Amino acid sequence: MTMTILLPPTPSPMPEFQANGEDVIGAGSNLRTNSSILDDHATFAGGKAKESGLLEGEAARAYTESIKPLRQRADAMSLALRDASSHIIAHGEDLLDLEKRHTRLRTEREQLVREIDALKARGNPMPTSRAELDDLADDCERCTSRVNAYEDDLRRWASDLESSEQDVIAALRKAMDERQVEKNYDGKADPADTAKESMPSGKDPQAIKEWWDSLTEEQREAMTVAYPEIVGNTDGIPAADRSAANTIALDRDLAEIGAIPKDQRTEDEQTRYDNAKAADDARREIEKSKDPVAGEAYVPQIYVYDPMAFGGDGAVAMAVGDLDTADNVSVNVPGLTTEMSSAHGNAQSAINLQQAASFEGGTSTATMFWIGYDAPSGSDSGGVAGEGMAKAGGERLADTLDGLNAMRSDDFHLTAIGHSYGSTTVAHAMTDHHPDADDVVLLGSPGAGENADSAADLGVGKDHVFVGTNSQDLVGRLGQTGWVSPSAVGAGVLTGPIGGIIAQFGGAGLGDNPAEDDFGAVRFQAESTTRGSLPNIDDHVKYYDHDSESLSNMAHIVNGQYDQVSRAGHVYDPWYRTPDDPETDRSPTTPNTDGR
Amino acid sequence: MNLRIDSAKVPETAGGWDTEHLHLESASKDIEGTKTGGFTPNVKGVVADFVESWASLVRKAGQDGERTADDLREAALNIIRSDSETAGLADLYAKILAEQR
Repeated sequence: MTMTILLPPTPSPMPEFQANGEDVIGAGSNLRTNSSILDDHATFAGGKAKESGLLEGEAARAYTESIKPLRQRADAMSLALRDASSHIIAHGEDLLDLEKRHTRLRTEREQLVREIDALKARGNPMPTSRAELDDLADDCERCTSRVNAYEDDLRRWASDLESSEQDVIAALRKAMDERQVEKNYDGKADPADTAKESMPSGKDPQAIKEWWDSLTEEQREAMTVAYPEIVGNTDGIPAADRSAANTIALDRDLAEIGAIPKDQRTEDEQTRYDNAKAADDARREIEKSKDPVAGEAYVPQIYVYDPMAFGGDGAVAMAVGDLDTADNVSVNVPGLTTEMSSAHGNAQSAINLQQAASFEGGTSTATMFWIGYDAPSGSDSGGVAGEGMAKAGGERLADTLDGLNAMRSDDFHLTAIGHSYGSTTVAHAMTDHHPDADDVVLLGSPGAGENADSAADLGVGKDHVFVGTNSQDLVGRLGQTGWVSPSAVGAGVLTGPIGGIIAQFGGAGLGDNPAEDDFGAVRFQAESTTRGSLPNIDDHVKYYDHDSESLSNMAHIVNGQYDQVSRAGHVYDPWYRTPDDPETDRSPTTPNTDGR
Repeated sequence: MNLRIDSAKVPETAGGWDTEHLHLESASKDIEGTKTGGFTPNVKGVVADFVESWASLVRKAGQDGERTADDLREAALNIIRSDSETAGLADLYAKILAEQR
């Protein structure tokens, strides 16, 4: 009997693939930012530029006529460049996918070639037993099927590459010169305009989310480029989209104002530029930091970017990690002296917490610093003495937490962390507006606000209110213990007993000390090995330091590892003398928080 | 005196065009610097042509804006000069109108 065994065919070689999707996306993003500058130009040409100051007569008419084509051209150019950049970015994403598939196919081919060589070796000399021949035939058939599947995948890969290339080439050729731009884009409706008209008028983040989801991809892309200030700062819009919009706004500010010689900038332009630089520094700090476990560089998400907010103090929030998908999300609210110029330091704190959370076993975390309220700083530093700025900030923070919850349809773990005056702000957000959060952390708190008599008032359950107070942190001693407010005592020292009594009953201070036993929160260890021997301000700014008790404990809280949080004894007020803090006598430890 | 210009608005708007010129000049340079190294050989050439063309288009748009600012200043000064009641103020107004950027 004759038996024919067909060896599998040699798989076709892989074509060279010379491309870098990330670089292509970078090129597209660069063009997109510049399309936003053109969009601004069109807005100027169609708006402020119309008010020439020439009130009547031929010159006024001539001016009006002369700017019409400039406006039309600017509109067409912004649409054309936006369209081209979108296609380039999409092409870059295709290339990333094709790159992965190319690597997989190359590996598959190498395996197949090895397998075919092995099959050839098994057939030379040919086996004599029937069973061995059957096995060889079966294996050859199986391998042939794999080669055929490889060839199909390779054809599909080549076809997808060609299709993506043709698509981007066609898009670019639609706008290669002024004539084509005019022909293909002049008078074309901007998809951003219809999208903006349908935007809900209120600030309900759920309604915003539904509206955003209802837009086409083209409309979302158009909104992002044409209205980055809106997309970047509206609660309910997904973080990745907000970040794309804020990146455009930030890069545009740096480019536009950077082009104006420094001595020719207005005060507002300089403020905007300084704040943009601060945000850029924070972004770069995050980009150059790495996860201590995976070793991968962090990718920043710009969640808020409003450089002229609060009279030029600015607002910015940036996350280390992906706010749209992380299992554990924390929002970190700084306090006194915070404004946009301090973004870099706050970014470092967020990086430290993100690294610590990862090192302690957190596998999916996003840590955001949030300078989204007008904190006492500069000329309004006096605001630290009252709760007004914390109340207003608390409302904004609650909107942010509501926005995070609205943009996510899954159940994730959310922790609100406030440091210093930021802790009073967090407390007001929780007591006054009841946003949905799982845990609250108050660090170096000068008081939990007038509406929190106990941890239970924060609405997350007293076992989920965590307090970190270094025993020598001067600010951490400002909250009211027992029935006397230290602020009232201070007023009494300065103005006499009557002044002290008036201050006490007038509600002086920022509320109760949350580290006190009566408050009922979980106090965690937050001492420092460099702790002072007397109350001081240095111990107020060590909570986010690596290898500190507080950072380690915060990481456990953020990860939901409650059993691993090192508890500390509460402050106790015996009423007849100054309060006792059992942490004062404990030797601080240095838990490793980043593996170094 | 029936002034036919808003003396504050003209320098503001002309200055706006000057600023647009700076923005677009910067955008043009930025576009020119777009890196094409990541594209496949089939696409790279088209992107390079596109980038070159757009750097020029955007620069031209900026220059047209600058010209508009100059024309606006000139028109305003001509109006001031053509009116006997305001002609004496032309030199002073020219200083106010002078291009800052």
